Amino acid sequence: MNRKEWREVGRQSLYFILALAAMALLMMGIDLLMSVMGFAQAKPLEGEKLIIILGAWLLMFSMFLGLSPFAMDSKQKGMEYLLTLPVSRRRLLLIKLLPRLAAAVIFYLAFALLYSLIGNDAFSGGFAFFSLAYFALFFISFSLSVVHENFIVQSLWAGIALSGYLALSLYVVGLGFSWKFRMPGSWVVSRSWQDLTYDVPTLLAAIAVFLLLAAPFVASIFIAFKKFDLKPARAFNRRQLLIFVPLLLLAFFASLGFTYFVQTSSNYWESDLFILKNHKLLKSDFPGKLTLYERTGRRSVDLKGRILWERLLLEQGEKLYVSGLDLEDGSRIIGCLNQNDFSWRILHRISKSSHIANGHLGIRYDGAQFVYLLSQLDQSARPENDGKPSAEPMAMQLVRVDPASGRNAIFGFQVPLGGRNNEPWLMGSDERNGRRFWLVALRGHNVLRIWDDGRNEELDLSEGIPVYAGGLLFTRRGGSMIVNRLLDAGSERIHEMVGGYTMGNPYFFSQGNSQMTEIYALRDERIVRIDLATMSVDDVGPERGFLHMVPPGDFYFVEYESWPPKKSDKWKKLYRLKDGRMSLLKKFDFNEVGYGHLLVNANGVKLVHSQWKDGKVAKATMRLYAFPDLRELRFKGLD
Amino acid sequence: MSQPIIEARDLSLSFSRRQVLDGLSSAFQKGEWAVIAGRNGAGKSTLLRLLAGVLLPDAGAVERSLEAPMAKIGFISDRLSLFEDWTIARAVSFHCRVFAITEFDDSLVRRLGIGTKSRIRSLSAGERAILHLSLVLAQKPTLLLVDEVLHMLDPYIRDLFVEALIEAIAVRETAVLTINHTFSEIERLPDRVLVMEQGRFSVDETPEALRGLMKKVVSRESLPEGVPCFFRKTEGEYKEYFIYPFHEELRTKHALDFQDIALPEIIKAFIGGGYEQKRMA
Repeated sequence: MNRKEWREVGRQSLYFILALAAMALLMMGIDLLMSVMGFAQAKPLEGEKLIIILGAWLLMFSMFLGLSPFAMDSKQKGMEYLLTLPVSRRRLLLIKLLPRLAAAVIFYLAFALLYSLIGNDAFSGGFAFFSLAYFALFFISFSLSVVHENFIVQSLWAGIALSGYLALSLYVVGLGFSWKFRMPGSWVVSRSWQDLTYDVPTLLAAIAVFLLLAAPFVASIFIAFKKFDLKPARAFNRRQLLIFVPLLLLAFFASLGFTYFVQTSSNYWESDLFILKNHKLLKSDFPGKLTLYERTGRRSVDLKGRILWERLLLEQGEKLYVSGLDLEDGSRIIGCLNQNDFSWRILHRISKSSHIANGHLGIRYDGAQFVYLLSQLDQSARPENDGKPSAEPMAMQLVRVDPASGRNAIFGFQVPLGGRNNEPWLMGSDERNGRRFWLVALRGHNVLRIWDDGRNEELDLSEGIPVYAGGLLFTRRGGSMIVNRLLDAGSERIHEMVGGYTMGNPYFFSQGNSQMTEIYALRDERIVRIDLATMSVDDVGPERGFLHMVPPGDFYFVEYESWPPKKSDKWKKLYRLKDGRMSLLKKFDFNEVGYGHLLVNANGVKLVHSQWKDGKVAKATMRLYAFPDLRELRFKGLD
Repeated sequence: MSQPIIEARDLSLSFSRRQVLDGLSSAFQKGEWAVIAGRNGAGKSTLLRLLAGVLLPDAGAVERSLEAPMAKIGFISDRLSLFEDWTIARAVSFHCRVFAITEFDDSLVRRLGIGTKSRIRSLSAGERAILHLSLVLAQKPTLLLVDEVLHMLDPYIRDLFVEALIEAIAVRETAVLTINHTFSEIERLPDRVLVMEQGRFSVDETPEALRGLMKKVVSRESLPEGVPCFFRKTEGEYKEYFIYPFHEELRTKHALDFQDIALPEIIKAFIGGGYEQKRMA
């Protein structure tokens, strides 16, 4: 009996391999034919393409393996004979399952090996999801193998059941999370599987949920099969369904309970640290807690709300302005904490239905007020166009919020539609003739200037990321850097620098400090200084790291031990760039505590250590160093 | 009476809304040949499948004695189910391995001149029946369940088949349950005749008792009051009355010619009576 099943599975596997080989040959033949006929360049069957095809075939094969146990017996009219054999029903099912499961595992392992050798991450980090779908499809199909005599109908049911299973599993993981933390489940569900591998509790919960929810499929067939006979399939279906439904409910609640107990909020920015002036520190905790650490001690405020802190926006005198998400209603808030009396008030609230361009990173301080770009359009409803310009303009608003009163002013304007990953961003603000203006950029489009009287105008086109500094607008076109001076109306081109300059990023925001005399950029793997008065370009040093611009106009350079960086790196060096010179400020060693990321702001440096284990971040810790001497900040009660 | 080799207790089974067996009970002894008869759809094949374990009852139970484990039950269904793509050699090898058979007697198959490399799907119904019989006899069965296959066989194969059954009973005291509509070949063989009607046995007698219990009266006239007529058939001016249950007092009370009839005709009368009852219902 065992031999029969192994033989049958062996033959099916052989057919699968032959079909696959035939398909690969066919594709190569088509490629060759196309190139001979001059339609396309001859291309070899790339590993990545092969892996995708193989993956799709494997999914189909796992379904076939799962559905096939009784298909051949039935086709050969041997079902009645099979049931007269001196083998119990459950043993019969086990005999059917084991060779197929073994084949599924062997093919999976072979595929995993191929994937690691030639896959080039063809599933873009979705291998875990593929693996899950592969085995889930096998077991679901197996559970449906006696549901109906028609193979096509069975396949359809298997597809529907798999979709339902995956959706339910993701839903339960999210539901357990939101239940525990009273947060939207979408926080978990929307995270890609790639991200999940960094979050061990959620990954554990997800694995448990997927196993628990798969169990009813397998258990129901094993229980129902005890009474399997030659009655019409409908009778068996009914019996299996009667077993499956309560088991599924049980598994649903068990998995929900598991996610509730296992999941933590640690990987959802549970806490963060912000360096303040005068060697003080602000710690934010989820939900809604802020703690101020000073030399004299610490003070806390618990806002009793479901607030997920995002960023320290501004430190102005005794006032600390922070942004956060209010998870009760999904709105984003800007609030103010007074360090004197530790009073808290919400200055401004942006409703869930409004979309802030670039999220909390899109909120700027323009030297006088907070400012951000808003669209009422739902993000999900926006067309995907990969950042290519669209003829359809989109209405946007620039919102300016007064930190003192919380009052806001709104300026409407229009931008061409960008892709989801190419949103307009605020790149600078300045004053001219007593009137304030803001610059809005969208990659591949004209830079817009929006005046505080409601006027707006288009300035120069930039093909790359533009930068505004020292009253000058730097745009890129045709491999050159164009320097424009802004006029009362429009701009004039004053200089063109040939070469592949890289400067700034969408989060580079200039407050229009006219005292700024220089900026730093990268060109031909070198750091260069651009003198804003003469436009002369001076070499500063090799590019072995990243440039950081800290408002209002300080430049830093973080040098990496290896370039490009490696996880085995043991140190990073921080330099200040001034007048074309690089001054070493500090060497940060992180050999003992894992890989280190340096984040520079106006008050100091945050060093985040990430300890890796099995390709995942197992632990992350922070160390803080305050300017000017970059002494490490340590406080009692803060580990 | 010795311990039955297999016993059906209050078996009930329905397909969708159609009740096929309705509280059927019976027991079968070692070395006994029982023939089950009945109209089409009476539930004969269903009963055999329940006893063979390929169907499971909705209610009731099939009790097998220790002498009749699954490995010792041979079942030949009217579908002659085997894996059709297999060759005879592979089917024999598989059957022997699964049933732990050390010795396979292929004399029956050889007598038909079938090559062991022939595929099962290429065999005629008779050849498949003989192959199937050879396989189940190799199990040295204590219980043989044979559905209505005799009518598929030509006279030569039919004789081979019946002889093999007789030998099994003689040598191993195998209990044989067969379903038959045509009794001419096996009239003298069964120890018990069971007739199924509406999901139960309406008759369960030895052939001798059955011959004594059913008589035929041929007459132009109607039967007098008090003569139990089970089934009536009209042949031209004459009517054939099948009297059941017959007892000798009827001869003294009524001046009628109560004729003895053969088993095949008795079975036919029961089947015809079954249809009549169904019509009346």
